[in-house]
Amino acid sequence: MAKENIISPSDRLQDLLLDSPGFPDFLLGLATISAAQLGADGRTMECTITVERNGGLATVAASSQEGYRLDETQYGFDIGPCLTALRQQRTVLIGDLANDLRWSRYLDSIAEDNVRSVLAVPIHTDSSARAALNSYAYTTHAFNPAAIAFVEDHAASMSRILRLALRLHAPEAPGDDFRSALKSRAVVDAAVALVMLQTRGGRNSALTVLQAAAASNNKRIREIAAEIVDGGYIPGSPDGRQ
Amino acid sequence: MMNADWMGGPDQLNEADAHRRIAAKRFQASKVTLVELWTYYYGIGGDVDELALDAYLNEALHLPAAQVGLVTLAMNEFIGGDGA
Repeated sequence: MAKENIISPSDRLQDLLLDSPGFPDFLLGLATISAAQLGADGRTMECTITVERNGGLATVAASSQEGYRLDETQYGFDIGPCLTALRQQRTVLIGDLANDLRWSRYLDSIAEDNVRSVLAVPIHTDSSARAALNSYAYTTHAFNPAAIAFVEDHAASMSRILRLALRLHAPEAPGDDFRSALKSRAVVDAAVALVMLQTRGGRNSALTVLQAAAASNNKRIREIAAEIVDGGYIPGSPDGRQ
Repeated sequence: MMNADWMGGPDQLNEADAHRRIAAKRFQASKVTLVELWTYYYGIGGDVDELALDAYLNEALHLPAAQVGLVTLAMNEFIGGDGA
């Protein structure tokens, strides 16, 4: 077991999650840590992590600009090894980019890059999102079976923290109820302000006035409020047209 | 329960208790969640927080008359079954 004064990898990931102000920041940290760990034996490695939430919201984080471009290109073509790993949730290996016949359009477009081999492995998450870790190496056949197993283990070790991050940074999608309540509230508040001004009363008494007007006109309170705001009568006011 | 100054005398308190009991029963009988009801109540001008609404609907707190009226309205309009 790790000694207390040594930060374990999982603690490090947890710190990363707690310190990241948003999901993209967290993912960027994850990509950077991955590149450092997977390239620890001296090989230069670019790592990217792609996350697609249900509904198509995708986040890409890369350990370098080059990695970012390599991933973005796949999105441009909507095809490529990491998109396949992500969508089919299986490991995809390209040992020699120059001689791979799959994904030819994508590979042609990155032929000028120095990347020679690619390994893309899925990171298992919950049902709300799919994720993949992509490693780009500058030598052909950089990923032997042991290296593939290492990358897969690394991806598996990130699964838990990624699921937490997805939950913590769930996209804020206020439902229709929320939006309509917010709109309606603005109108009611404006009407309340007008009634208070006219009656020189408090907020609760203005609300009571609105409720009474709604009841006697058989209308919803938000309809009465809209009429008041639109310059209609102000119930209960000395000059109101009751 | 304390008798707050806006509650009036014992008769009004009994009436408020009865009104509150009906509201609580009606909420429990509906399939509407507290969040949904509170959001609607907020939308029509409601001022008390979700916790206070919860307490009211569990007959543990009285609310000012204007707020009670809005809770009732929210139920009428959102849960339905009574006008609107």
